[in-house]
Amino acid sequence: MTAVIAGVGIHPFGRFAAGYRELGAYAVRQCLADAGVAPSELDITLVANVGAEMAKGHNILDQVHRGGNPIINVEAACASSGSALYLADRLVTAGAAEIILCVGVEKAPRGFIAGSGYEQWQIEGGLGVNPLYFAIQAQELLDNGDTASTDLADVAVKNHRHSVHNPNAMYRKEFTREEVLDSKMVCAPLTLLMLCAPNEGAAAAVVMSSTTARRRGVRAPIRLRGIGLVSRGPDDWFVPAASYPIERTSITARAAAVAYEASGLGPRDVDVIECQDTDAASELLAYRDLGLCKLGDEAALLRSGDTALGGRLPVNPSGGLLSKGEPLGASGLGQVYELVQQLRNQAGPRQVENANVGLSHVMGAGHNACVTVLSR
Amino acid sequence: MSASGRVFEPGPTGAGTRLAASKCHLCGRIQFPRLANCPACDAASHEVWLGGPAHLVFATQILAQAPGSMVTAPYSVGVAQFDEGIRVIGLLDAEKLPAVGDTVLPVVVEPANGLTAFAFQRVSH
Repeated sequence: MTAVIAGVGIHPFGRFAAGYRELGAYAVRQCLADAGVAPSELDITLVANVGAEMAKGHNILDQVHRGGNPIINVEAACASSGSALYLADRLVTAGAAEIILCVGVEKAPRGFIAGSGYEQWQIEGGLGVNPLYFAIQAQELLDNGDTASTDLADVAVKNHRHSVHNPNAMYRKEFTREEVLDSKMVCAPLTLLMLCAPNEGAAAAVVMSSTTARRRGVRAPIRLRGIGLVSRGPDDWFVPAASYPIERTSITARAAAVAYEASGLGPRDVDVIECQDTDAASELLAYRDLGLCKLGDEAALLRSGDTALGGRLPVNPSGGLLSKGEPLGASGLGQVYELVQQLRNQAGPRQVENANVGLSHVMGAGHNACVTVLSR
Repeated sequence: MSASGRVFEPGPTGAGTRLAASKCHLCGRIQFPRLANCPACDAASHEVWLGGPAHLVFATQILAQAPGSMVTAPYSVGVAQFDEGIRVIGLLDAEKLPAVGDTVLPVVVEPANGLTAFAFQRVSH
């Protein structure tokens, strides 16, 4: 049995006066309308969130419908909504549920993200700083290949250029390479415009079997071809580890291998990608770990223009997290929302031509990564 | 909660210290901070002390105040690579601030009132 996405919804990413319940409910209503599903038809609701209160999903759904069916809250840091989608796919394909709603929502405080799992001695000693970890891997990229600081800047330039066409992005302004390089240094070698901002937003997707979708006459269902969800391995390096092995493994590469195998597709089959550009270097590392290029060719792929809109394989046509910001619990489903628009040929000025296969990639503290392959 | 004693060997400020690590009896993987069992193969581990010398492979500055940090920004942090096959993230000693490529030793520092920590100090030539 194959699972499909029957509908999606989104609350724009940014900063808002409304609470997380309202943001989530907004995305839910839009999603249910898009799928043609009544709230009373939901067998299970999976709610991805990192920082809100107890019973968060229940409080969101209470704004829409109080149906009595299971509401399950899911937390896996920045991979939370990818994890919710994974569970929905597994439950539907196993026949354990017919219609599942996945919701991701977040209202992240401004500034550095707290509560990433550091030990108290790391926090008090000034080592509980997520951008430090991004800076370490960015510097390794600069030291070990032909990647230059200008390439890091150009990732941000590309994604911000894409975001101009995305009404759901927090920042919809183009920046030059010089503006990115000259922006405030946060943690060398990363400047402010090379890092995404934690923020607020919500996204949702309805998952059902392809059989159910056919029976209901769902318009343009998007097939969930394969999902790879993996967590901390023995030789991974991750937030909040205080140390790491000299030779380490890539959690993204492991998740991608699972997703590609499950889908029967490979990197060459993919037409459009939304990846975890928490910082500019992370996007370049994703090129390698998702199998788009060889080790050391990350910057060359960027410079070729292939990953820009109009190129062979656009990456982050939505503007990515660098432009949208990152509402932790919602970011993965935000990517799925974008890919569904692309695969439905409804993305307007940021439409990727002939988009038949899309790939979403999230990775979060803990350590968790989720890669999802979708197709028409 | 002080890390002194559990994460590194206690001592007076400025003194050399060793980091409390462990090595798996079976696969030989090193863990810092110390774990009783290896997370890779679940075999028992034995104590290993990382005393250096190590060499610095990364250095940067934290320029904004991090949530919960007793250390006031700006301050320097880095990654030291030990011969035992592990890289450790730590503060850099402002008194003998190392640069990437320098040989370093872990020392006890007091980066904030009432807080003792370990930091990597440049070895004088």
